[in-house]
Amino acid sequence: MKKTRTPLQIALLPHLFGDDEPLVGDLVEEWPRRSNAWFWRQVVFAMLAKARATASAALREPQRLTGALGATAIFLILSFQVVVAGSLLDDLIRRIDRTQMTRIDHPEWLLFFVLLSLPVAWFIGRAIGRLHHRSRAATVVITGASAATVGAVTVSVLSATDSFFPSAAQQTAAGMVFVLGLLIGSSSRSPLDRQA
Amino acid sequence: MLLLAVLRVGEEAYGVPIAREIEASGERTVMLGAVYTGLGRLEANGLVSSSIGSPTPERGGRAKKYFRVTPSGLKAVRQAKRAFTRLWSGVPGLEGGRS
Repeated sequence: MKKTRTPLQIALLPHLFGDDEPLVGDLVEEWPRRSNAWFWRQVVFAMLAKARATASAALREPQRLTGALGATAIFLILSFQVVVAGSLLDDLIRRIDRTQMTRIDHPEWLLFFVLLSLPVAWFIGRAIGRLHHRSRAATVVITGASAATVGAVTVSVLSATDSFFPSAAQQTAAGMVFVLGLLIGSSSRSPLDRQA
Repeated sequence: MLLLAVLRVGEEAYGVPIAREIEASGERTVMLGAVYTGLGRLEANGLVSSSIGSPTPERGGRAKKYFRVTPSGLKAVRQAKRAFTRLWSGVPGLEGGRS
């Protein structure tokens, strides 16, 4: 019996195996005759096979690892900066002027704030991506400053008490969301870039 | 096994019929990812060659990748058969039908 295709499953394939047109075509062609379990087994196995092939190719040519290792290092450094530099900045603000600081004491706003930080970071990251070609020093300063500011804001401005974030792990996770947005934004290409 | 499947399917040897051929003979589910990984390795060793066909609607407008066994591949299949037959013969438990 021929079943109706689920657009989501089909739409997902090019994102998973974008450069492997024959495999995607085979899955699209064969799936109507098979079960959903067959389809997902095939997808998971093909992803694992692809990851294995990529890893072994990277081991044969170590220079391929440079980009991935660099991105991971930047991600970790910025996340560290969000938490540590943000906390230091927060401490400095408290020492300078404790009374006039506007603080919002609504822990339920945490998720909203964290989610909002992602598109904000994406825009900043995109601007940084364009700036990168002109000035590397400016790129480093803006990236570091924005990460530290977000750290200070998450620790300080949104809370009247020190326990706005229940744990350091959650503070780190919130910071990582912002850093992730920065990295995605900086690596995304604008339509103007594509035309060039 | 992959080389034999490509030979059996013939002109229309691409991922789906090759996987079906192996499934029909081996009575087990074949992973398309494994078929392409294996064929890629055989192609790197010069045992099969590939060509891209034209896109078809039932594949969502995606092209097929056809495989064909090269003369070296055919030679490898024959050698494997000879080696297999040699190993098979002379084993008392495998001769004379059912075990």
